[in-house]
Amino acid sequence: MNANIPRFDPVIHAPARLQIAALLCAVSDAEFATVRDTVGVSDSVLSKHLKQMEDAGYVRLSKASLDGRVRTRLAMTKVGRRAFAAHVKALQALVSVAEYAPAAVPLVTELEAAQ
Amino acid sequence: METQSRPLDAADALRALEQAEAVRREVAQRAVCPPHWHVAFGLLMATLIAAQAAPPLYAVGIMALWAGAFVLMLRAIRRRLGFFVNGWRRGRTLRVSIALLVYCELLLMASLWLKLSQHIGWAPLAAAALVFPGAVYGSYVWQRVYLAEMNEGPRTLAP
Repeated sequence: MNANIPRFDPVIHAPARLQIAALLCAVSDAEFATVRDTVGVSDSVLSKHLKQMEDAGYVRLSKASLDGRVRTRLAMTKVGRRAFAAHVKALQALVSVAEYAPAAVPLVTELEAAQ
Repeated sequence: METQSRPLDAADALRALEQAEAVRREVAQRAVCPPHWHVAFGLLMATLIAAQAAPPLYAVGIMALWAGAFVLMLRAIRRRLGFFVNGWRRGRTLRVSIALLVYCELLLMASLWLKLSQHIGWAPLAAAALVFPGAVYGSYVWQRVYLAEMNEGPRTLAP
C-alpha cells in the first residue's frame, strides 16, 4: 500500500477508528485507557474497534506491567500508518475538490463501490 | 464492519479531518513536558559523556546506574502522559534528533581523543558540561517542533 496515493479505507473510515488511528499515528504507543478517554468511548466499544483494526493488521496490542499492574499498550503498525496516511490524503483531496468545484459529484467509498 | 449509508461528500470529509485534528491537538496538550524533564534528559546525556572520565570499573558502574535512571525516566513519562513518543519518530523532529546526536557524538569523540591521545583526563567532564545545556536546549526544541506538528492543519495529518 502506497501512503502517497489517496485511498479511502473502510476500516479507518468510521469516526471512532479514525480518531484512534489519528492518536496512535501521533505517538509510538499509547495505553488503552488513554485512547479510551481521548476518543470518548467505553472499554467495550474501544475493544470492538481495536479488534477490527487488529484484524486488518493496522494495530498491535501488547501487555506491559507498570506500577504492578498489567496494562494494554496499543501501537499503529507500519501498514496501519500507511493506510491512515492514504485515507487522510483521500479526505484532503475530496475537500480540495469541493473547494474548487462545489458542485462536484459526491464520491463513494471503496466499500460502497464494491457492493 | 459498518458501512456508509450514503455517499461521502466534502462536508463529511472535512468533519472527519477536523475530528482527527482535534485528537492530535489533545495529544499536543498532554505532551507538554515540565521543565525538569528536559533537565533530566540533559543530565542523562551529560552523565553518559562524563562517565568516560572515570576509571573503567567505575565507568561500568556509572553506566549501570545510567541505564536504571533511563528506565525510570521512561516509566515516569508513560505514567504521566499515558503514551510514549519515540525521539526517532519520522517527521520534522527527526532533524532535531539527528542534530542532537551529531552534537553529542562529536563532543564524545573529541573528549575521548583528548583523554586517550593527549592524556587530558578531565576532557570528558568538560565535554559533559557542554553536552548538558545542548541536550536540554535540544529537548526543548524537539518538543516545540513536535507540538507545532501536532497543532498544524490537515496537511501534516498524514505521517
